[in-house]
Amino acid sequence: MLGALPAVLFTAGMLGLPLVLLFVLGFLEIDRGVFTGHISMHGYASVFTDPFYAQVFLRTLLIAIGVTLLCLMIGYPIAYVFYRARGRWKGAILLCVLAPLLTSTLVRTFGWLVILGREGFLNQSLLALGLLKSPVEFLFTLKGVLIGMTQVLLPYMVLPVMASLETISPVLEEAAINLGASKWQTFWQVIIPQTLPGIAGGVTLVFILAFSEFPVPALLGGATFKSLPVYIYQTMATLLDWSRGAALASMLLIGSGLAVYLLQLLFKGLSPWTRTAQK
Amino acid sequence: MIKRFAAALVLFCFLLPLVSCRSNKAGQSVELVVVSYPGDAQIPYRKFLSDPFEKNHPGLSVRLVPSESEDVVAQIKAARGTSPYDVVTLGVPRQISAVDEGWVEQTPRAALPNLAEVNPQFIKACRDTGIPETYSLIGLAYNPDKVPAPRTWADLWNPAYKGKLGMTTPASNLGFAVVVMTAKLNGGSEDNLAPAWPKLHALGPFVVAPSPESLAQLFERGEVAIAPMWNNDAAILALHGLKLKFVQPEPGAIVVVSCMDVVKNSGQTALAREFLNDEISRAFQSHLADAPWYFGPTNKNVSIPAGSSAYMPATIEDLDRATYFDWATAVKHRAEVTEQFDREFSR
Amino acid sequence: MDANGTEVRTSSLEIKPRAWLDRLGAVLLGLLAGIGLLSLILPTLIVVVESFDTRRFIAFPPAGFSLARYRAVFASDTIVSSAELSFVCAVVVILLDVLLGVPAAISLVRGEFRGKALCTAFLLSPIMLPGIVIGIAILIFFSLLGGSPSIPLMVLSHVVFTLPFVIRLTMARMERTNVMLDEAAENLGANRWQIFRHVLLPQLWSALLAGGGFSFLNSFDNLTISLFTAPVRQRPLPIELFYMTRFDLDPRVAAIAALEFLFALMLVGLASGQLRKGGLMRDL
Repeated sequence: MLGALPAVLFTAGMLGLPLVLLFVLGFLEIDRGVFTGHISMHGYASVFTDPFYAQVFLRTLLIAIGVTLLCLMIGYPIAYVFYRARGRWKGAILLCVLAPLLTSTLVRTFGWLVILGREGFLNQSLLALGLLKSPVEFLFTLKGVLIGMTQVLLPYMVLPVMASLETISPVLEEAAINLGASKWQTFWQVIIPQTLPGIAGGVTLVFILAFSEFPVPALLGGATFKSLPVYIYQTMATLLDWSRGAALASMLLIGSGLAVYLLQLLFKGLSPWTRTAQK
Repeated sequence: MIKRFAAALVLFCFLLPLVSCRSNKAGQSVELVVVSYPGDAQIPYRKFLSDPFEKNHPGLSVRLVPSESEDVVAQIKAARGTSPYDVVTLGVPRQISAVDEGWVEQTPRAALPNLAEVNPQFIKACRDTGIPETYSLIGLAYNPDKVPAPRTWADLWNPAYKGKLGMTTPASNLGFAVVVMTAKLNGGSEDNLAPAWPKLHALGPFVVAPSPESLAQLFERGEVAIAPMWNNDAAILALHGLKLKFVQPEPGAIVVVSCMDVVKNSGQTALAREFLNDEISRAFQSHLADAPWYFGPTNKNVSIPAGSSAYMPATIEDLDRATYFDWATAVKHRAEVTEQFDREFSR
Repeated sequence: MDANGTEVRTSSLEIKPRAWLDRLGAVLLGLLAGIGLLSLILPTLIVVVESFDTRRFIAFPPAGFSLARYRAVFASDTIVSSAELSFVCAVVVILLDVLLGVPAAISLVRGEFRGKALCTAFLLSPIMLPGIVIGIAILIFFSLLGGSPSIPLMVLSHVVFTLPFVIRLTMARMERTNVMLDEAAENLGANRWQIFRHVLLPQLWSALLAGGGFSFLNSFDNLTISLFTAPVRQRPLPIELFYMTRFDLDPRVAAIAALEFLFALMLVGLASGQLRKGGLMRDL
């Protein structure tokens, strides 16, 4: 119908067309925004011949997987505690989860710059608690990036799981307890399987965001830390190598798409139960 | 509820014009955009150069933009039509590239009468383009409470400094100079920088800051206790009351001349040239050389203030004993050195 | 054997419950959740407290109390004008989102036409796209067409990635409205515009508010896409902050961060009552 037409035209012209062309653009030689008229393979060639690029890609993949796992390990308990909480606690937890989303990633990352130094709050607390003997180098290292990114992306794991927990059937839980299952067993064999769609949603979302995240590694990783998005930014903005930037961006897009597809397959394989849990 | 929200929105819209007054003022006037130093190092340029310049040209506002080195260069090169910046401040390594790549103006000498007062060796260092605006030294800054005093550049490899060292990447002139210095200490030269890498690794783990400014901040926070640093930054930190001592290590601190140019395709060429001329005037240069900034004067008629010996050589003759690098040769390898540094030291 | 003498077979699922495992589980759960919740709020709180520090660099705990950094923020022309720019652009983004998104949502929910599913998928797809890819694609495409980074380009690039949110939220809300109300109004003689204004709009209000708020924050705070589409001479606030943080570790950022947080809290406070009434949580 006509109502949708402006939006469709806008999205197609503004985004659809550029994206379709992005892949092609990697083959064009572009000098400072003007097409020189040559076709060149050098953009894509670097992807396959440059060992540094492979290193960057693997590192980004590692970060994405690490952050996703950490978010799952920490985010699911938060959602579960919310599910079990009553009254004021529910509101407080929700506020803790939503409030960070309202501040920009930059602001939250800046917070970590304050906390992560050798003399920073994190080291001070860990030393005071006796968990550390001497300060650990967090700032401008992979550890720091993992910590910062996990915190930044945590709400994106918690919210889908929260929503999913709202839809599970309390009857099944009661039945399991009545059959003699312990709380531990109930948790792993009754509750978690029912929330699989929420977990799938959260994992997919966090993975994609972690893989393509720019400000956190750029600021917390320091000057030498190169994740794929940081590398792409440098290629475009500092080196002005737009053909290579376009090629790398296409690779990022394809990589993300592939990851989503694989994750969806994974979760489909894991879940004969999802059909009952879906609304 | 809707009424409350609407009320808040209306209130905000009233606040907006109050804040807008400021930008309206800037919008109506002519603007000269100058790439300058970050942080407190910018203060003398604001107080003694751009503010008086604005007074002499009513309706003009001068915007001093802190330099983000490589991004600024890229932005100038990528711009189509009028350049986003009118004046740039570049250390000699970047000046050489800029002249080669042709994006700075070959300002006619006649437009810069104050050049007559400038020391010829500096004019040559800036490739006869723009003006040599100052010179700075790279030495070693250290916290005397935490580490022993270094005497030579080779002292950096002293095990007492392991784990307390900070550096910047070769993207900044500071980092690049240190890499060149390291290469030379290990038998290399400006043309052969490969020996720098094993020698740098021998330094043990060090913190790599994104810029000299952030390195200075890390120093203030106590994250690093010793670092190669610009003499100006060290002087400013000492001014803040930080426990810091600056050393010009043997065989000599590294001298880097800083040049200022008018960018090609600037929208304000005449004003920019006048700005450049004011910069090398005796009046401004004496402020610049003064405490607490200690920017070396390029104007022959300005003497270095007494009491600055900690940060500066006392006379031009003493300056000759400092270390000069063959930047023209070294710069040819800059791009690969920068990339190589990232590969070797990313964590 | 149970009481009636019938043989009761124990299913293989029946394992003896272990109490210590339950306790371990509860402790682990609590610990992880606690760490998580702490990590969510602590950094922002620390920044807010640190913003009142007297020193010229960033470190926690602060050495004293002073408003110096706030004064410096408001005294800086660059920061204030970039904040204004971001604000104005974000408002324009909301307007464009609503103008494009609401008619689209209505037609996608109420309309019947071929390719509706495809249309829906197409309009909602940008949500999953990495911001950096969007920024680069738009920049290169429009540069080759002769354009260059500019404020209009930046605004449009923001609309591109915030539009799906608005459409999705509006659609979810639309799905819970009753078609019969529309039909009743039509029977009473209302035309399409009147139906929209008096029947649909009051029901959609909460979704529009949420969508608008979302769009505003996403546009105001956006860094990655803006880095490619914003012009050099007029930079929006996030880019200004990025450079201030990356190269300078400028202490004024702490003050700006605290102000942003305050502003966001105000926004939530004002809107939360309305959102709860409109049943937003279900839509998310």
